Amino acid sequence: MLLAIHFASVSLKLKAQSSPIIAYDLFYNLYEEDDQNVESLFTKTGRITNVIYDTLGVPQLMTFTPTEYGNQLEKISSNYWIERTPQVLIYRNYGSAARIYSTVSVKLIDRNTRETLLNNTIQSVQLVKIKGQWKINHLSIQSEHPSYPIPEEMFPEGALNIAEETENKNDTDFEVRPIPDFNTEYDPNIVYQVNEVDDPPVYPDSMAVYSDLLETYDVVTTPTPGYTPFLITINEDGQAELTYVHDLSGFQISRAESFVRSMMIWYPAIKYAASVKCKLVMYIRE
Amino acid sequence: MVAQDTNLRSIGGILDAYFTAAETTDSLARATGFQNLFTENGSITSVVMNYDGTNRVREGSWQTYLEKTGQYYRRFTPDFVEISREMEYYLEIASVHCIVAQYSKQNMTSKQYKEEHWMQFDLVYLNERWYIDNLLWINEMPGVQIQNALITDTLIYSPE
Repeated sequence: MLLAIHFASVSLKLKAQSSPIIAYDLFYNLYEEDDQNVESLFTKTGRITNVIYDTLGVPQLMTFTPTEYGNQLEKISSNYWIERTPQVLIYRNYGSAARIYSTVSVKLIDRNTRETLLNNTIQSVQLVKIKGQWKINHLSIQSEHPSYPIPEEMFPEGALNIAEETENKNDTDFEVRPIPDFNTEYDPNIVYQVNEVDDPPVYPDSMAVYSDLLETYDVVTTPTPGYTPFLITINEDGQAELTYVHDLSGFQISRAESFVRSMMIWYPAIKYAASVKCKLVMYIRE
Repeated sequence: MVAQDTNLRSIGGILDAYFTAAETTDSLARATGFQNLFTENGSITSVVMNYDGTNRVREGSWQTYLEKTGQYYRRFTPDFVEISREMEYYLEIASVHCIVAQYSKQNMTSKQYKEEHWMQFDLVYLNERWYIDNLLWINEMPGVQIQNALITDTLIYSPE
């Protein structure tokens, strides 16, 4: 993935919410702005959703209107100074819609004792442009869990490291050398086996998520008694497709179809530096 | 019609279930499907980009959306085809971006219309499954490929 690094440097003096970034910036600097109220930054039906955990560790949803959220912040600010500092933002924009998925560090400083509480959060902000002004339409907040830290690329140092690694990799990989059996004629009809490609297809999530998917549909990846083989093909665009089901019963086919439909888009197999089709053998419970 | 909760444990599963529900022409079955997929306060926003660059934004609850789209469903039968998908997620929240082709077949004439959208799903994971907390879509503008919506910039925040 190409990682472009830009530096957002937004003047707080720009009051008009003339870009998604300015609207975002105004929201996170609310208490540094004396004439900005939280409602003015949101759409009419704008909402904030905060995922919190109860005493048993079970996630619960808390939903706020902008007014309620503003009241919460004001209540906290009577005892603490609040600093909400965005770190790394993943930004998308098309027409009058935008999305900023970001890490935000929240610091609460006790006004009496100066004791400081620091909490990192992921905050996903959806913005829309209404009558020339960008407004927040929805905000989802998830606090960092100590056992599952936020990925390091969502903090400036990690993001810069990745950018540097990408740059270095591009430099070192730039050496061009001929491949003796290089076939320039791309044939979209060839479906390779895993042992024929340079890099096999990769599921785009953690092993735990992939294992969970396999378990949900009672599918395994090695020959196992009581399981019937079938084939899926990972196409050049990463889409998975069920391609051989002749040994399966009707019920198994239906489950295998659901299994494939539930998959995310794979990183496709690579051969000769190009994406190619690749087939995977899997086994579903009888 | 109502998706099994086991299918809703994966992001792909809840998106499939949403498209299935949204393609359902029976209003009661569609409402049941949406009720099973959205959080209690779940919302839907549509942004229609006009040819002259102006827009029309409609926002509200998923229940309001169902009420207001009744007329569309009486005239058309929709079919959604997901073209590409990207996502960011952490623990119990996920932001999923899909480029989706919406085919609308006019019931009277069988004439078919196609429109492509960028759909943003805000999902939350509760009670061992995903729910849709918010959905926004925007249509493709003339001369600007909707696939551009998936291009990301990574920004490092540096206030003045």
